[in-house]
Amino acid sequence: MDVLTGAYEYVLNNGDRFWEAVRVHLSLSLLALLIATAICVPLGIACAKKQWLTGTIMGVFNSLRVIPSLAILVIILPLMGTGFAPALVALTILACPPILIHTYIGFRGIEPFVLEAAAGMGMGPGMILRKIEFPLAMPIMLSGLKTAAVEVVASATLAAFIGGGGLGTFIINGLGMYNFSLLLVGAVPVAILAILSEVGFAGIERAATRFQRS
Amino acid sequence: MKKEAIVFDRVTKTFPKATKPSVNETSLVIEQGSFVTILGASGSGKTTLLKMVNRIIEPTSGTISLFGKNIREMPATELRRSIGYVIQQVGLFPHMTIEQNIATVPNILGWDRRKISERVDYLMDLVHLPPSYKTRYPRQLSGGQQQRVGIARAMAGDPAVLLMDEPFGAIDAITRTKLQDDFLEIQKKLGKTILFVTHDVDEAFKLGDRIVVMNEGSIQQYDTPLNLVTRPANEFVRRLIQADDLFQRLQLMKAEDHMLAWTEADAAAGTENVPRVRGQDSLRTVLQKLLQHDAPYVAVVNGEEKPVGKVTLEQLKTANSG
Repeated sequence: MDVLTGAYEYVLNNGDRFWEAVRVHLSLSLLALLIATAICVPLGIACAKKQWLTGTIMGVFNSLRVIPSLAILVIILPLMGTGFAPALVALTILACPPILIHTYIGFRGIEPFVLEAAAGMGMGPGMILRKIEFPLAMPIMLSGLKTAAVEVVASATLAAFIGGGGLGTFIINGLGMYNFSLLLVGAVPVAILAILSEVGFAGIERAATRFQRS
Repeated sequence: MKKEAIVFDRVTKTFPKATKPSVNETSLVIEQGSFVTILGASGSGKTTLLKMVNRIIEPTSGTISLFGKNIREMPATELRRSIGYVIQQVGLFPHMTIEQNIATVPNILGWDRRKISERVDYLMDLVHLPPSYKTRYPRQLSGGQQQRVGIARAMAGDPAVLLMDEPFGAIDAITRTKLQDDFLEIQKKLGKTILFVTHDVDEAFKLGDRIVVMNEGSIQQYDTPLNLVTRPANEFVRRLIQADDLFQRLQLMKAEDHMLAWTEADAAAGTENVPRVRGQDSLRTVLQKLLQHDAPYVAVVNGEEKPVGKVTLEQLKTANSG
């Protein structure tokens, strides 16, 4: 209990530092997710439509998935040095595989005759993408985004190892100073953020799949 | 001479890597308002022929025109909006309600909201779907109901031409018969030009005013159901539709076309024990009644149950041989 109250008091006394860490943590995570989405959604769609692309691209991203997050951070270190930017790159790489794979699966899962019917009604490729393919692939894409979000929010903690800031700073310092209160100042909010992003995306997912349940 | 709706002029389609063409140098004229069924086995090229009309498949050579206009000269999307398209797997959009599905083409065409809503109501009624289904999703409907929506959706933009690729092929026999009957009713009301692909001989004969028989990429015969049976062009057609089948032939002939005049003598003989048929009934029905009642002839009656003619077994023999 002392440990928890200690953590609470620390937050009260060092509000500025705490909220700054939360802000950095969140912006790191959100930016990483946005960049990964911007890259991987189009790539996933391209893979789903052009089978010859699939092998190469999926192979590359699947192998990325095998590398532990900490290892990615450490590999980035000699290339980009320390700070926010290398942390962002590492987290983006981490967020890519689930988004790419789920986009691919989502688009591949659309029945071909639904697309044939849409084309037969006189919809152009752009309209089919917006009105048919995106809505139909959305539930699976969102579950990929959810996985990526939880992973990124949790792994953003590690950014502190390469000077990226964020809530991980408290954890590292807490560990180093053998101060468990300080450790919890980082750990508890990270856990809460991870749970919140899980719950948040699950909510959006439910809204997007209403047609499958009613 | 009726207006020509669809004209195929020496159309050939060879798919990449295929050794022989799926559709070979095919010419065909479909008149406006006719219901043409395309009959053939799988691989005969019947679906390819159909899908070239709305450019889902592009021909390798030859031209197709729609109401006198070469279809390659208009954008594919615009062309397709003016042609109704129904496929075997229906292909309803699962994330849209029935109403939204039916309203697809009117929405693309930019109709105003009220007009679209009236159109949806009209079409739902036309295909015998209760209005309460408007807000349902496709998943909640049975296969037969889904295809009713598919037909309504295809007709939403009021196209002059409907292309149907085995629309009832995946539906159980009882529901299929009902759908065929209902669809014939709809066609009677609207008089669209319909191209309808099927591998089911009975379906082709039941629905089509004229039938295209295809085999290995070529049209074997393009004729009325009766002519196909009485004058098959070749051995393939004869075997496919079992033209030698007596019942098949009798099925296609109407009692009113083969009856003798109803004479005073017949009237005097009384009609109590004489079986009756309608003018529209087939000679097959006549034969059935003759055998069932062991009667010398059947009376053909009009709408008011008044005898207008009779058919004897002799007539059946003449009809069959001629």
